[in-house]
Amino acid sequence: MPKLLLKFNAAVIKEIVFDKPSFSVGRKPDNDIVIDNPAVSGHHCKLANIGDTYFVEDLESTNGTYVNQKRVMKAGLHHNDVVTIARHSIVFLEDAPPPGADKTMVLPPAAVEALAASPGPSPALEIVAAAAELDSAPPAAASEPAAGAPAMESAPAVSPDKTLPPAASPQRTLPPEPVPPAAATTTARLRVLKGAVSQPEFELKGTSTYIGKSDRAQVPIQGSGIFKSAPEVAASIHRKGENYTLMAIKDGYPKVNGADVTGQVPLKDGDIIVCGGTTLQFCVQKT
Amino acid sequence: MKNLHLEIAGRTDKGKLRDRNEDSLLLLPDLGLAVVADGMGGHNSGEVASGLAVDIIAQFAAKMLGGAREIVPDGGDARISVRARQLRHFIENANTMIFEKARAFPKDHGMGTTVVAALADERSIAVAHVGDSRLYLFRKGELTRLTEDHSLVMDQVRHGLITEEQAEKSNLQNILTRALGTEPRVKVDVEDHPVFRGDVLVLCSDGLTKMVSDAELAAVLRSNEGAAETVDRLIAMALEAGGVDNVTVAVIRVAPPRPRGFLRFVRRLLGGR
Repeated sequence: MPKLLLKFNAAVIKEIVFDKPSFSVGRKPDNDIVIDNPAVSGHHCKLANIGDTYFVEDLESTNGTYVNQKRVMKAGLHHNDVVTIARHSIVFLEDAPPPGADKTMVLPPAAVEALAASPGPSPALEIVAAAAELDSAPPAAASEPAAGAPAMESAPAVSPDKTLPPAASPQRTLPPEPVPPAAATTTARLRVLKGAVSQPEFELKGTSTYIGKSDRAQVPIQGSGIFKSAPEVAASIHRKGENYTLMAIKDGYPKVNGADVTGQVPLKDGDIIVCGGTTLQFCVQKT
Repeated sequence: MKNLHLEIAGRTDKGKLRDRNEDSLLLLPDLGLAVVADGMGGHNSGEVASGLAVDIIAQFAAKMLGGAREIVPDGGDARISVRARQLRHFIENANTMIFEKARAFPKDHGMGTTVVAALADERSIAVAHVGDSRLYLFRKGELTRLTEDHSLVMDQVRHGLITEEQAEKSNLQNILTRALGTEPRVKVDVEDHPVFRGDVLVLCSDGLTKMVSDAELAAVLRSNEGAAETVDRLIAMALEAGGVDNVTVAVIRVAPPRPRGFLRFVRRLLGGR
């Protein structure tokens, strides 16, 4: 539930929970919020809530109702808005994080491209990488140097409770322009050493590549034995981050460096994979 | 088409700290379709965005897959299957609808959503995703992540700048490099995977993956329970670990292999596997 802070000049006089559909404000004692000051009208204004929206309505007061220094007849209220009535003011505080400070933000495409295009590491990048290690650091402190600009996150929301997992900490918003650049990109290939079916080389695109006789497999293989039979799908290679693992779909059929594979094995540059009559070499390139 | 061998279940939970559930879930077992979307944006725009995403996908799926005749969008990438192209088409349309709505209504300005969708039949599965909702494949006791998050930290992991462990602790986890509805066009990652009997697929929002580690997830899947029980257990684990965010989990189980015996013998005779 939102809160209202009644202030006189800078001093907070009262804290009121917005627990009713409406609050009347004025000098007379029948108001919900009484401000005993001759500059305040008997019934000065009304703060009300309908559904998700909160607003203030002036009740034809003599000296007027101001929201963020602008005289209003009726105005919507948002987090941190200040309603001024003569020398008193009411600050509207939403307890839920204000809109815009939502948990997730999306980088604009230009920033993503910049990230992909810029070569080599940069200072900004190292700060981001360092920030990643400081999981208990207050988010504002971590994102400010990285961004080179003050974070937009409202400071009071920072949780002092370090035991919460990082997802629990308030979300930061990183100004979109300065973006950490990317470093080397890893590409992996399978080179066919023996028993090529279609192409001599396959680039491993996406997160998964399948090896087998089936037309569903990206890397086709030749069978072995008298009938030249091969499994529809013999093995798959999965990428996680920049590491690759080979998984036997048919246990014992694929061989990596001469050893039968059951379950999965990590792949290293130069590894030799034998599937039936086809021999492949796994190659990694950093560009 | 009836997917007799697929068992699909899913559930979404608000979590323990959030006031609202911005996640949306769509399960169409008859079509073999499961979708998880995790919305973002001020006020209730997050749930508007994720809700729109699943609604549009459901509408398109009903028209293009559920009718008397399947409709396939023209053109597109020839390297991916027809189902993958259909799935991409659904998601691209959802993107347009969310983007236009965000533009038309100031209160929804800037809203967006992640999406992960799986369109499965007995032989194969098309997987599409945008953002940091994930799809895991559990096959023969091993857990594999089939989607790669579109997030700043995952970009860094891919470029070898930080490790996976560092990424999981990073303060920058919440920064996505792609989302549905934030730009007029979106690049949807689509892949085809063969499916085998006994496979289990898990679609989930980050409310699960930030609370439950891959190892814990694998342990639950190893206990080999029904789809609905697995969903309940995973959500309970996320809530126990703090339930910081909305949690959505969908599980697709492919019926386990038939008992070995006569059929297998006949297959072997015919030179199959």
